[in-house]
Amino acid sequence: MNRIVFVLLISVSFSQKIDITSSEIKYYGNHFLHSWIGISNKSTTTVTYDQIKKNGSVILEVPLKSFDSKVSGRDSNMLFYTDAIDYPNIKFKSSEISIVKDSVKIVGDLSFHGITKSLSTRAAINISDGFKVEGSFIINLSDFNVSRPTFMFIKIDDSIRIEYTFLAN
Amino acid sequence: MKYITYIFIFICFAKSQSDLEIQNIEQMPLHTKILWGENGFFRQINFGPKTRKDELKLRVKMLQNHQKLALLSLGMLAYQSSLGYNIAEGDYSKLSRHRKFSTLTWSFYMTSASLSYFAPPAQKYEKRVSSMKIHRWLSYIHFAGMMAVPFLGKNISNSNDYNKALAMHKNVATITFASMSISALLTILPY
Repeated sequence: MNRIVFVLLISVSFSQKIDITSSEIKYYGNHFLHSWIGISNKSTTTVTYDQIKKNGSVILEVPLKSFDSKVSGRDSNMLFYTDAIDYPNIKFKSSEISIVKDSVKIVGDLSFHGITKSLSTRAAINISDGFKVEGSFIINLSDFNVSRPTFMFIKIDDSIRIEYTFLAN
Repeated sequence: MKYITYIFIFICFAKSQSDLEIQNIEQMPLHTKILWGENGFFRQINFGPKTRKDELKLRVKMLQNHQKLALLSLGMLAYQSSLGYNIAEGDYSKLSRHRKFSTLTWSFYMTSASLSYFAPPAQKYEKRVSSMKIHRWLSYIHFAGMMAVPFLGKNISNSNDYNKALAMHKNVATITFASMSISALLTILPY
């Protein structure tokens, strides 16, 4: 029994919570007439990593209303089309994290607009200026049952590129 | 236990209500405040959708139609301008068409303007200047122009000074068309 408690204590002590000091999540929208970027710095992120087991977890939540594309009318439209009243947040919960050299592979579930889809992304780790993790992935609005806004009779592109940057101590 | 449940429901309700808040409501345009503000006209007469979600649905529908009609109005205004210039140069055969077409152009424009001005409030407003804010400021110019142009047109035949009345109609119509064209172009800018 004492041995089990000892092993548990050791494993707990090596599983450390990483303190995220700042984050930036960008989405890239495209229409044949123009492109735009919406930025949010208001995500709530919890990252833990176990150095012994070489795995960890990421739980992220970002309010849709925190995205700023520099045109309030467009942000307002985005909130309407994504049904932000019913689904105010985008959530991500990892199921697998593996570090290979200077990059990390993150697999998990992305919940957006009431639909959860499996997602895999590879992020680069940069330790030259603090601890920085950055990566990107592409989602399709149709996969999340989000109807696309129309401008000048033409819908915006279905695919949205997401870029993320996290800085940690 | 019952009270705890009530408190929990209240907290959940309060949270969901805060999500409905309009961001930077103080930046809402005056005409929207008058119609859809907390004590706005439509609120007083209990007109409009019952939920904020339906309000946004109506807003998007109105603005989509505003966009289509505005584009059509701009095309019609361009055609009207060309007819007007021909008449000013002495081709009076186009006068009747210019007059008839003016009612149609005016009606399309006013319907389009109404769809924008009467639309329920957005979910977010901002202090900084953006292309869409300039688009709205320019709308005050072309709206005033569109209100004045038909009267100034009618005034040409009644006026004692034909050239002055014609110049006034032409200038106001040109400013209206120019501000409307710039307004349309601004919508395709990303910021």
